[in-house]
Amino acid sequence: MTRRVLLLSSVMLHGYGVSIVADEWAKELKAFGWNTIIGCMHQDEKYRRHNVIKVGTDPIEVLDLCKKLKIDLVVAQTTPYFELLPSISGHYPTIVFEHGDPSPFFFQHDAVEREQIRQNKIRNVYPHVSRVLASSHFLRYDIEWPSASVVPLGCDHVADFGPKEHSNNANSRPLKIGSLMRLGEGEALYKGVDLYAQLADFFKDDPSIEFQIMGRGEESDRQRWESLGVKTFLNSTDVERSTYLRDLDVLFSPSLWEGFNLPVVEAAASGTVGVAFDIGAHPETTPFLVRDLNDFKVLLETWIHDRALLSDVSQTAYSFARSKFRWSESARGLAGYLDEVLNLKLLALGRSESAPRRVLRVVKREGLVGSTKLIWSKFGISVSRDR
Amino acid sequence: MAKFEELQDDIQPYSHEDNYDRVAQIRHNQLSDTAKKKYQIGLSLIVLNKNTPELLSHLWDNFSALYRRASERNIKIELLLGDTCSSLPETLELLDNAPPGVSVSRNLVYQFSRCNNQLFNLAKFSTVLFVNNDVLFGEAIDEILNAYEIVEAQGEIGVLGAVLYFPDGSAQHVGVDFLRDGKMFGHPFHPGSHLPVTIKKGTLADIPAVTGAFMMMRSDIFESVGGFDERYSKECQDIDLCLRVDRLGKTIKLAHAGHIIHIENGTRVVGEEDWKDRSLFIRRWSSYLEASA
Repeated sequence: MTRRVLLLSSVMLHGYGVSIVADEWAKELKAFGWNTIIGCMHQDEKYRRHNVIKVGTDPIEVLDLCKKLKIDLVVAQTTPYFELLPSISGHYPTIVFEHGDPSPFFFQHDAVEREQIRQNKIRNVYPHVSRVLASSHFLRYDIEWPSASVVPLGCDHVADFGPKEHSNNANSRPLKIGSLMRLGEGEALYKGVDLYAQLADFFKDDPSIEFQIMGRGEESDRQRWESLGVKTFLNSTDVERSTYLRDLDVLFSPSLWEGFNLPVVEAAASGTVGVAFDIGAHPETTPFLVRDLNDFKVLLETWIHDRALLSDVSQTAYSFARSKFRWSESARGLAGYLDEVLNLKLLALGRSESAPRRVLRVVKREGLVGSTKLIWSKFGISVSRDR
Repeated sequence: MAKFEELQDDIQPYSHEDNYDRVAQIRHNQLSDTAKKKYQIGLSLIVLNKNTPELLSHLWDNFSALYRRASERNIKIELLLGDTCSSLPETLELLDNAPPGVSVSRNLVYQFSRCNNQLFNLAKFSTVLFVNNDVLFGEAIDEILNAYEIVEAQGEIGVLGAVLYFPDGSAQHVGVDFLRDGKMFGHPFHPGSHLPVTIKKGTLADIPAVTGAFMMMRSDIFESVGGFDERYSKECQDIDLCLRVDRLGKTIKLAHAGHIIHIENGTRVVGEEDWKDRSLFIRRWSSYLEASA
């Protein structure tokens, strides 16, 4: 029996991580018996599809929509939809999926307002939904909701070019280091833009290294970066983005807060080592953490002269990302919580799924071997399982 | 995803430090272009000490023997001793009568990483040996000098440790490895500790990391990686250093350089563990260890 989930995401726009997440889940959840309708406030051509619809934030409107579309469960992955969930929780099971928000201390001009939004979620949203999920362990601490369960995201939406070899004669060309971020002023406050600029400035007279940056931005952003000697790519297409990630030698994220950091994982999955500071959820998403810019400088100086080592670390990063972050696994994790929450609701209503139907669904989801392991585990017998 | 969910509570990687503190550290450490120091060929030993006159007396004897033998072999050496506020008269007298080749820095406030980094800044020579004050060289004088020559000659060696013995003859240190699963995933431990030593004298083995109780490396490597990380207050700073060097493509080696004794203050007393240090280590390195396995 297929169920229907309404996934609320403020934007379904090209260049936004949450749009990729919603889109990938919608594709993969089908395999686990869930049809996904994505509700959003802003949408562009890329996501103009039959299962993406515009939805406001009025609870009555959302309830009407749920009724019309025969929705079983509602998931919100962004504000302002988080805040409407308590109003519909009496009618539908609801799940918050947190990608987190940069800490208020980064934003002096509206830190108070941001803190209020955060506190409002802690007091008035999380306690009133069926489940709180998060994309990283870091977020459980950062959102101050330690009982949140973690569902990692995927990265296999990016083209798989295989691991990358850096040939020995690569020593004769500059090492290409790049970053991928939205370039606007708002993001600059926590994206570590100034740190990337410092690094580019430090190496500006060194012909063995070339700095690049890609992201959504204005012409003025390009001028600013190019004045620092950083090759700039604005508002690129998906294909250009994919080629960029593959062609770099190193992707560096100077960001000072991340709930997951999809670009670092995408770069690794494209064969390019992704390096990031030890902040936010980076310890979970890349094996190559640096404690500060000096630490990174040492790595760069080493890799400039040792491309064989760069090949090794790129392959390590590639294997790490490709093996740990798969959308099918992410959807499996999410589907498990959707099933759990829906079954609890049905149980409360005395309409729980029949046992044979439940078994069929689990077999379909887990396969025969997985189902057998699950049954054993019910009897307290642990069977090793690939993660 | 790192195996954080399975970890026991006290080493949960985010439980001891919030993002604000982590950001502050990054902002505090400005990108620096310090000109590389010029080192003379030779060996600098760095030791921290507080009181323990009997150990200091042993150290003076050990170093004097090493100094004499090094002179015979035309190897320049020095000992930089950091005294962390000794007060016992016997110790103070020993400090006043240090043997040739020893420089004493007094009144250091003990913090392993910071004190060792401070002393390193005074080091003149191209190879540095960090050694605990309770490590006794015994008869292994020539072997230690041989180890120095190996580090000087083999540029691919990042860090060289040594087999260390307990006074009862069992192994105290034959390298450090990491727990690969379970509630302590990524946690460093000493395999083979308290067992008979099976490594043959004169061998050089690849290992994941070595203890800071006896750690030899090229000074330019120590300088380039920024020394010991001073965010670790008691534990794991030596293992963190090894992994930072390993990441640069250098090897971590263990030498059997004879019967070197590490008295060590016994097994760490339960309750003295520094969980904040351990949590920091796990946060920094568990994904690296998982990916490199």
